[in-house]
Amino acid sequence: MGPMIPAADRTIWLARHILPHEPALRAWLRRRAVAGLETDDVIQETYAILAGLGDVGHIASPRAYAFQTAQSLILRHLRRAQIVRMEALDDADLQSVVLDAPSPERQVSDRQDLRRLADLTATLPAKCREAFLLRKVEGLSQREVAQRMGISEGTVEKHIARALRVLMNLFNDGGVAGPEASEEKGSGSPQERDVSRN
Amino acid sequence: MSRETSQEIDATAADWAAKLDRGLSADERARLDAWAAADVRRQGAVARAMAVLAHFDAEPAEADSPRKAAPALGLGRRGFLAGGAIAASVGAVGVLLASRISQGDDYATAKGERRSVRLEDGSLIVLNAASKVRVRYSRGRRDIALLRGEALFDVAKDAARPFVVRSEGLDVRAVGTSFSVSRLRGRPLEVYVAAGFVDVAADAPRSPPPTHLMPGCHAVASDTGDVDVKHIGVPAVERALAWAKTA
Repeated sequence: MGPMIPAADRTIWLARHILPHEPALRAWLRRRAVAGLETDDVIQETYAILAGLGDVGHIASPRAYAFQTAQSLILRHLRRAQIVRMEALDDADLQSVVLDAPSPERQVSDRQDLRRLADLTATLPAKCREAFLLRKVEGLSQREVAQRMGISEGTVEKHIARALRVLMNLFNDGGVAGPEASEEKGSGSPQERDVSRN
Repeated sequence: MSRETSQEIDATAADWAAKLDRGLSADERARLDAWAAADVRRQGAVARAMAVLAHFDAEPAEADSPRKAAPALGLGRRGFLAGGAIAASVGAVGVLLASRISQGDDYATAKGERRSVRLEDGSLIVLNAASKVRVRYSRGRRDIALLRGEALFDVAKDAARPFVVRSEGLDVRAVGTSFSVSRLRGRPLEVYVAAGFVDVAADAPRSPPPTHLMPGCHAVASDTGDVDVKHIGVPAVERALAWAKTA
């Protein structure tokens, strides 16, 4: 297992090559709702695996790698749950999703996601937004942000954490992927729906 | 004990990412490792939180980055160095060393002419055709008046002396950034931000709070003083500012 907390270069790789595909991955996972397996859980475990990889230099398509990692997590879950209808997990479908190079539409959509991320800071409280922008856009350290704003470093840290929670939630609640991603959450009894596609 | 939800994990992970962002003490590091070791989802949540935070870095430093457009244009995030890059890329042609600016100096271009002006603090102004600025530096401020036309400003970082461009009743304020302001006849005042962090505010008492612009923003100020902001992306901003390369 690699280090539990990724180094700076892996963090940048995740930010640049995985994060832009997360909305598509979430939408794909939601269409494959599996009993007892939340999309958020699969996403978190996928990031843990990608963060812990010894090397990512060999990964030609990070998007495909992320989808395949998520699929392997689903398969592992199904095996453990002794659910036998594994053919329902359509492997050909996965290939079509992940192996194509991003289409121009997809690239535009990714850029719009970035734009929405930028726009989102507009909803933060003024001080929180100022601290976040000074830190991330202006490139000041947290200590310098504190000096500039005349507030404590602890308060700056809380502002950063708060802004980050809001931005992370943007992905969780489907705000990035658009309406198709904000479908149902959870289900009735797990037995009613082992492996199904909506 | 009920299972920790992914949302609860995310909230704690955001707190940890904010701490990682300022650096951990050895004790904190041990606590983070212990927390993360208990659940693989926590490890993923921290990695993801850090990635979301890194996503907002204007120009992540990765050696093999295909996104070299910004440095090529000389509109890097470190305004001072990037300014140097601009001057170098135009072969120093038309670069004027204005070393003793203090009381207000005017720089202007004629139709069809473009010109770069290096200011005493290292900031660079690139004037588009038929443009005019007035530069006034004092101990506490760097004031620029855009009197007509269009100019790109590549600002040397100096937190103690804000760099303020004033035009048509609007103040465009920046510290260490790269942006352009244009004031063209028959068109509203426009601001493009290539790098850094810019505030646009009406130069009037009781005016609304400033509008914050991030890299990739294009702002248009109406006659009524409203500022309409669109995030068009850094590549589009660079295309809009491509004229400055030929100055």
